[in-house]
Amino acid sequence: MSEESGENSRTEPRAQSRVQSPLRRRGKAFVARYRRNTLAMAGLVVTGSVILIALLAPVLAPYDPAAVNVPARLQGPSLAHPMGTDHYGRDLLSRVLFGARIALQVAVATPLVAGAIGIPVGLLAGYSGGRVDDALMRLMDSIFAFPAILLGLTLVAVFGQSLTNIVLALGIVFIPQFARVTRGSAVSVVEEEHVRVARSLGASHVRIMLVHVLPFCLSAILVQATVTAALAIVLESSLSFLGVGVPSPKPSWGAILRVGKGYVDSGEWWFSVFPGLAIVVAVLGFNLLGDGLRDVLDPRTDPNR
Amino acid sequence: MVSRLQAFLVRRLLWALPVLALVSVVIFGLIRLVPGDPAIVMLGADADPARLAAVRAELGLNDPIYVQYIDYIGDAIRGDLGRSYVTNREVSAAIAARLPTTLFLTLAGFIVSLAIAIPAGLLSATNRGKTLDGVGLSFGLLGVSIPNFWLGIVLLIAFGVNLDWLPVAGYVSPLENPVEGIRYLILPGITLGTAMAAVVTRMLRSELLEELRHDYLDAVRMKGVSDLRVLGHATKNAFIPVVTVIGMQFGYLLGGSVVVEQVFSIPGMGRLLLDAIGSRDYITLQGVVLVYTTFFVAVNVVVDAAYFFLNPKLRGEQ
Repeated sequence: MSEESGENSRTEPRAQSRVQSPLRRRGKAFVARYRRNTLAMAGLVVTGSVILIALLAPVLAPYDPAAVNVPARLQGPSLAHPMGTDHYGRDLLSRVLFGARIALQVAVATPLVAGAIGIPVGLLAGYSGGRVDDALMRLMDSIFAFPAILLGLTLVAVFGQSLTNIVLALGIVFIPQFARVTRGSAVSVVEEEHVRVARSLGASHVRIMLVHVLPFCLSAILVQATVTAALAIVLESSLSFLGVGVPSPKPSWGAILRVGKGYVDSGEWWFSVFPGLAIVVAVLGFNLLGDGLRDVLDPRTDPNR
Repeated sequence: MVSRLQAFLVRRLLWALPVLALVSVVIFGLIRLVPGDPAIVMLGADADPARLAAVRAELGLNDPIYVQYIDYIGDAIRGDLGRSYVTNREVSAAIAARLPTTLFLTLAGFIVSLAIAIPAGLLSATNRGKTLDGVGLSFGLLGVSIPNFWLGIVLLIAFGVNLDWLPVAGYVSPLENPVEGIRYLILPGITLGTAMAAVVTRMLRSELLEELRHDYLDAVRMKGVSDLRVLGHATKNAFIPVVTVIGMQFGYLLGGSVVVEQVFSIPGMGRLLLDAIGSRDYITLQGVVLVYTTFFVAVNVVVDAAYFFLNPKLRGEQ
């Protein structure tokens, strides 16, 4: 990464093109490499399908996910109900499809919240170095000292159960990761020639950080965002499974499993197997995407690693 | 004379103390952020005024907040985490009764994960590109994508309900009855340990591949050392960075135990925590979170010491 931009700043004198052009060139190479990476493409397909399902849930779902039909309660998988029905006779397939909406909201919003704070913190720490760096990163370490699920549980217990609060809580949980990743990239970018040139031309600190440093941190941040999305889905479903997640009428996969678990002993396996499979597919999709992006964005790593 | 290890440990402890202090401030502050009068939140608006006054006094709500915090921490250091107004029990006694259960569960998860990850990582790296490697890689990816509580439920359905081989709920202390105790910990241990096993497998594989690429191993091989010993040598070096990951994962196991306790109805600290949240028992809640965090930070310090111990460069051997 560093050689490419360093080389570029030598050949192109104007400050503007110096920053734009290597990014654009990397963009093209990125798409080409990405298409050659099977796992990355698989991740894109799976994640894309989950997004489509979430968007098209009202069209795809055979029933209203909230429609109670007591005579049809706890039916096993059949043509009418491919995933069976729950304890209120609601169609599980419809609930699982609508559940993708909640999972996706969490997967998208959590990295945004975490990045909104973590990226500026990491940028400032990596750019400033010295004491500011030490202090900020120590603060991040203390947030990191909470196991994620405990921090999530505590925050939701204090602020109350709602989808918004869960996203905020999970966002806080992941701030340190975004700060670390951004700082890690920023520290090496700051040493590059184009940053020194910008500084000597009298660009302000804020401008250097935003225009000359941040764009070169984006690939690492993007990988972190996909990994965070996967973890956020797991954590949200865990919290919902524990009964402190998304409040109950909403068909969160974890909340369905919370009830479904109670029917394991009596043999209604479909109640907990299908919603769980949905979680696995969605999380696997984001993990594949993250692994793929990491391979593709960092050409130094061996694709077989 | 102070050894380098001692100096290192002192430095790490000096890092851990402010982190713990900050964490305790945050927990303490969060509980105070609960909207409304904590006493009324805990007991309900129509509670007996005398009990409300007692709770306010217990929480020291009439004092300035920094006095409340100093009092709380002073007591906490002496092992007094206050008394729950819901269960009327000493919080530290309640935690002491639950802590061993959670630690045994975490240990079970830890053992399971290393028992899977070390052979899986070694086999994957030494069979690079072959079927076994594919299995190892798939496990590495699937293991981190399956939420532990769902894995637990699937294991419950398969082994507990259908095959009836292992107990599916409850807990027997391995100290009182080792055989039954271990039987009760097998399914929860697998449930808790799989995600960590996947992470460690991936890490060990890639570190080992990196290590096996080094030229010095060819030199060792040319001297007629057996392949197995060469692998042993490489594994030892590959393990140094893996230890850090194992340590961090141990902390996550502690967090994951909260969920696994719920799946297998194990009466550990996680259940205490969830009960405290459910009944708005904030005194128990802050005590439990403080104890979890202390363990988490302590594990980090131990891991750093292990890292230091394993890494000859840091030890600075002459």
